[in-house]
Amino acid sequence: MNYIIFSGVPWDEYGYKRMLEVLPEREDIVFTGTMTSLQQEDSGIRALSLAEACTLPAKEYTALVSSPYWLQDVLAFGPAFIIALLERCPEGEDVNLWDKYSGLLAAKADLVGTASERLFLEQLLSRSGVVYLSGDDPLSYGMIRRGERLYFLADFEAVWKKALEELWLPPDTDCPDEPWAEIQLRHRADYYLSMCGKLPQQPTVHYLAASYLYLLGDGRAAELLTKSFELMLLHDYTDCLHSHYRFFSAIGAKRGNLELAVRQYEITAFTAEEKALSAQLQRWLGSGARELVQAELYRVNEDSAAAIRLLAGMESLEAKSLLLLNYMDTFQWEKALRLQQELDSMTAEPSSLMLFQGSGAIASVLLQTPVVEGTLQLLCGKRHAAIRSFLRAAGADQGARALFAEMADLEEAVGRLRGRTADEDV
Amino acid sequence: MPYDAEADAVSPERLAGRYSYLEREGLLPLPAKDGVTIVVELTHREWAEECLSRLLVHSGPAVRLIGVAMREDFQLQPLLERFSAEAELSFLPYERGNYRINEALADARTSFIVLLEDRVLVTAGWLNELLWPAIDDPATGAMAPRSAAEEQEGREVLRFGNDLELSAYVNHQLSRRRGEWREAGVLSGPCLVVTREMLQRTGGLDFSLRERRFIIADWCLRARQLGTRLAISAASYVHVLQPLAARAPHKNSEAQAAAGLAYCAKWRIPDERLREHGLPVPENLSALERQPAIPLGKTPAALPLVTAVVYFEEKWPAEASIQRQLLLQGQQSYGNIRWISVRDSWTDTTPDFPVHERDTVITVQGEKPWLHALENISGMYQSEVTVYMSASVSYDSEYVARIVKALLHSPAALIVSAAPGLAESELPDNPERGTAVVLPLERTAHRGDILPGRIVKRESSRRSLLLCPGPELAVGYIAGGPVPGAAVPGSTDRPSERKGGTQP
Repeated sequence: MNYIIFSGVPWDEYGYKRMLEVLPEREDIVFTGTMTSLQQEDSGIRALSLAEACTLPAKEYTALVSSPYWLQDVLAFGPAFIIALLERCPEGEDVNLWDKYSGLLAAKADLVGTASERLFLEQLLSRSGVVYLSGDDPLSYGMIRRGERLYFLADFEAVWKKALEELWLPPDTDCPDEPWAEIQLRHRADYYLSMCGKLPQQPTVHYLAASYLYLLGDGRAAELLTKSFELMLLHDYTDCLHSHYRFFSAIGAKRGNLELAVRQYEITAFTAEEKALSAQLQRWLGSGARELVQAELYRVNEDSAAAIRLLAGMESLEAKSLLLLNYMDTFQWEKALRLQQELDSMTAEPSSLMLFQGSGAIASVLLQTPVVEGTLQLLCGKRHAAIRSFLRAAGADQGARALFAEMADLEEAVGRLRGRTADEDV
Repeated sequence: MPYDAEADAVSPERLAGRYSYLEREGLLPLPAKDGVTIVVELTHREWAEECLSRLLVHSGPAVRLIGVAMREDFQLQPLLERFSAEAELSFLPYERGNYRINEALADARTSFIVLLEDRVLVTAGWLNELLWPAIDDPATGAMAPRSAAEEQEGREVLRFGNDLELSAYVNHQLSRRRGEWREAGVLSGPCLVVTREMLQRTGGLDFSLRERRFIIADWCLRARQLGTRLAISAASYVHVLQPLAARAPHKNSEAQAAAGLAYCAKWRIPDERLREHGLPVPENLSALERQPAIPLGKTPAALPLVTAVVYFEEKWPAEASIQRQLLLQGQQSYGNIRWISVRDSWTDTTPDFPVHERDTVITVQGEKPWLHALENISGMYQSEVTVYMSASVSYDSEYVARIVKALLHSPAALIVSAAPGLAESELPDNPERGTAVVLPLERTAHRGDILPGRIVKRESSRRSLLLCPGPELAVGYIAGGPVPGAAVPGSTDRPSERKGGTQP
């Protein structure tokens, strides 16, 4: 397999060197930027400028992208697969811009990897195909031979290898092994369960254990969350109703106990919008629209991935509009635009979409459409079309200045990135 | 300056340095004059090759390796091809119901035997240190290196990024702790060294316990009951790989629980101790009744019973037919065969066949009753599989094992082994259903619960026989055995299944 690296930093500071060592069936590896000849010799990786890299046969390469500001170039290159290596916003970068384009990068990626457990959990709640690139387990879970050298794989490295292999060669559906994503969740859950034994008074480890068990669909999640919630109260963390107690409603939804789950959500509903949604959930419960209840409980618990899995196969207008919200939340904006066009053709008046939902969420989505279109056009290199879309958006809320400022910020950030990786003295 | 021989003679550092040099350079022989047999349990296809390669490189010249396939789906063929030049490495293919580790252990003729999983990666000098405890203290009969998969005293969980880091650690330990070992209460890890003397006294492994850690621990406890000591080498470490999905609790959890309960029942350990961390061991071993030894070697009772029908097309003289029958019986590796000989003898009296209790010789007079007897044997003798063998044909030693394995893993009612040397790709094309087909009887086997069909004589042949199966019976084909004199392939291709049969 061939790989091309789009790094956010020069080679010296590149944080995924070990992950490159354990790439499966590694052939040609290209670093977009500069490296000394010694670095190239030592690593077995060649350096090319962006212009040179763009002449490679893109469909034979998998792109490893560790800065969201490469997204325009990566999309223009058009590799066989995109792997997003997500990081927390570095110092000196605009957090909002970084997070937005990281979200867009993740949504475009075939596989997402991150060494931040917080980002890992956030991404798990947004999509499938997410690998955690860190861990504490000292055991070796496999090996990879490269020439004379034998590399031993930590659990997350073995998962990384398996996930990459499956990009090229999807698993045998006739004889399925346990999916790698599930294996990794189980390892994380086991780790936190063992930590709970060692730190019985620590609410965070119980919460994390509950989170992984929830993602696995393991019934012990509620028990661990209860313990965590109790510990939070004992430690006088009084603001845990939203952060901890609401999570019970997602666990209840996953187990199909929707009446209890809706009551649990109601307890945490303070704002007018939350209260309106709570009333909507009750109405749906009353009318037997249980899947909508379940999907919305997932969404309000930030588990859009579960909501999308549930709603994707549903045909009703309400289900599709909820799906639209989840696509928007998870930066799956192309899908969102396609779905919105479909919804427009289903309803005579766009406003009818807003009426049933009873909250401002859909209305807000409709207003954002030109911004979404403009951003996607910008990513595809259609600068003028993007400007037209932003101007259209400005007509609605007078926000053109902010959008153009963001555009300028992005261009500046991209410029800085190219300078960092390409203009180093060799 | 005069040479001070006395000062040098009392310098243990210098001696140790020289010893260290000799070992590092691979110049020291193992402390076992007849070498060491290493039995490798082959389970992980992705690791087995590396494991075997490292064993061949790092174990010295005086070792013999036996790779034993532990799973039905373990493909031996790639290993056979990869290691075809290694004379000291042989393989035992998988046999359902037969725990071939005991067979491999029984075959070992060396003073020391190593039992090792294919997830173990050894490094230079790994073996030497493991043999010395039995020489230091002859009461020590089993030794193990430290590893992440040992559960008690020998557990050592270390992270290594690559083999360089591993070698550096191992060399450091060897230089720092050479010769150090300590007694252990039980061993249960992936690498166990035993003396042949202790193995013969203790017997084989009790595979009824199913889970490996219990099987190894059980052997160690039985050995201790006979007064042997167990040792953990402080200087020796082997790196062990873990299967990524192994901790999935839904997989084999019932079987694992049953294995644990069986182990506890055998050693009178309360079941609740299974929930404790690590392997439970009896608190007072000497107070327990001594466990019987497990016989080493094959375990024929566990293999499905096969009826091998040997038919004599010609009128063989009595003595020649006895010799032929004995030769056929002696050649086959399959461990649970009931031999039925069907002879047609107008003139001979029935010779005294030296048969086992369950074997039978049927002698008829005339061709018609001879064919009738052959057709009805499967109804007369119940078994899982009936295999027909002609006294006039040569069979390789794996013939019965191969055709039985194919039949047991195929939905086909009959299996035909292609002519020797014929590959899978050359097997006959799929005939249409209902086509009148005939099969060469001397290369055919069928499930024991069916009536195979009519047996007829082949035209233009004196008494060569053909089987005409019912059209409802599915016929599978497997590639032929080796051409006499050619290399023996290690595994049999899965049968290709077809309905009906093949044209003669």
